[in-house]
Amino acid sequence: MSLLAAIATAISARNAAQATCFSCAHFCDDPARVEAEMPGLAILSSGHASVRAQDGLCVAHQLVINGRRRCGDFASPASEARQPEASRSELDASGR
Amino acid sequence: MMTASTDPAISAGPSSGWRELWSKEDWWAIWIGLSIVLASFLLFWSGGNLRWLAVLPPRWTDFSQVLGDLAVNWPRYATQFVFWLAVFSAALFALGYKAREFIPAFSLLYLAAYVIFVVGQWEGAVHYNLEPPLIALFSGLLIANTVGLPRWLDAGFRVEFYVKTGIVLLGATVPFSLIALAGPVAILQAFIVSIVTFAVIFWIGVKLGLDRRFAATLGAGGAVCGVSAAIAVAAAVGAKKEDASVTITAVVLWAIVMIFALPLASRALLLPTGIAGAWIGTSEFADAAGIAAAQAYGGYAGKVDGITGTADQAVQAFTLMKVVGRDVWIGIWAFVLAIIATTRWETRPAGSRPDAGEIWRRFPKFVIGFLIASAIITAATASYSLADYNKIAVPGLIGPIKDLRTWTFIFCFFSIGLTTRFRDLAAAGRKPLAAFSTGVFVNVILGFVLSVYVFGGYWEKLGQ
Repeated sequence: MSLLAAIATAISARNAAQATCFSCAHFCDDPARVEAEMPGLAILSSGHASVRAQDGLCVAHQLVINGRRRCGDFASPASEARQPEASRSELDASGR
Repeated sequence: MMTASTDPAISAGPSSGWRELWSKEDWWAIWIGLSIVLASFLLFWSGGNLRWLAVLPPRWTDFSQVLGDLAVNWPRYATQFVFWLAVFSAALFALGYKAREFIPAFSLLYLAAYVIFVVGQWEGAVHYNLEPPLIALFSGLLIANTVGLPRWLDAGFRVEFYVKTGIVLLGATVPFSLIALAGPVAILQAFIVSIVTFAVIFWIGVKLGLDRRFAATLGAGGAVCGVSAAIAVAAAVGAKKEDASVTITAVVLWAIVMIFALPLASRALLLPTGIAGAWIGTSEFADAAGIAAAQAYGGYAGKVDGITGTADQAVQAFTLMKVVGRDVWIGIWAFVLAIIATTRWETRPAGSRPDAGEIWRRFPKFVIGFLIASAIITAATASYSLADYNKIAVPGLIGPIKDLRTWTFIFCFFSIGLTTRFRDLAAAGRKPLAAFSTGVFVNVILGFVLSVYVFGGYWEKLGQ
């Protein structure tokens, strides 16, 4: 148990250290939600367009980002099961 | 607005390249468009054609002609409706939309498209500027901003999806040699205008006190490919969400104005269709809006005294200028601006970092479908003389594809109007609108000079 657990912990720690905004609980890249958050986006573009690549919204800082960095406010959704719901609340409370 | 059926996790994380093949609408536009092109080719090769499916309302002077056509051809219209419904439903289901929302929305859209088509086919329509793109847009705007429609119907009003499918089909009507010959001219003209427009908007924006990331987002929206460019650059530089929303407002407002203004100005100046198409391709902000303007102007060919050229020239010149000249470079714009943002501008707490891989990831993939469609039809007709091409290939192979393309564009134009709810757009603010509008002014003048005086001889003879 101890060896396997140690390996799993090490892998988990490494993954956590390497994680970027993509895996942050504050990151939202759902096309429908992105379209809803930016009114008019779907008129002459689309949340499903290739040009959007894997962009998303940082709901903590209210930024549009490509998600390839991380900051001190990183929150792992895996460690906090409630985070997605929290992030939705952040979106709802973000002035819209 | 929220029409997707899934209630997904906040982030799906970075997806693999393969997943894009069914999770991005660009690829679905390619699958649908190329399937139609291949079906047309195979039927033509085996002695048949797609004409039965590609039914259009007839030209008419007396409304009884429309009723007569409907009495005879209603099974063809019904089959075509089911065809479009099936292929678009499959795609949108894969993208996460509910069939029960898409089906009624698309049914309404098809019915409206038929009515718009009928009005546009009236012999007197051109006299009253009743070109189908303009009717579709204007009636859609009127409905959306007066009585309105339930928002869940937006599931069927997917502007970009329809226009991308139409552009892939458009590839079948553009010879590959034309793309190869005209591409460099389009790229040069677009490069000049894009750099100047971006520089003007960015410089004025910064001078007016806007954040540089905001100014860059505004500049990309005006210089490259409208809303899509604005979102891509906003993400690359890490702009504020509200700044991206303001940019969207500026782009949408000016794009709508230009759909009407550019064809009317071109008509007043009696510009040849190829030149007008190039000007629209240089100075419109979005593919869907530009196709509407170019197709509207192409409709004047042969009907308005003094306007020379063909309807195809307007759309082909627009497509070469906008899609080949401007759209395909968005990945490079985003990458370069990301480098500048992270090395020269103040840091932001979260999110964006330059990544060369984004040049490919952001590439508008539907352009690949456009090029493949062109290559397929060019290869299939390579052995034909010009006379045989016009007598055999155009009616049997290319004509049906072109008519199906026209339907997708009408779906697109009406959807632009129906989804443009002015009251929903973010308030633009005086400074951003001033910076953007100045860029628009410079863009339109420079685009006109380049299209008419510098490269005018080239665009006028496009494809001839």
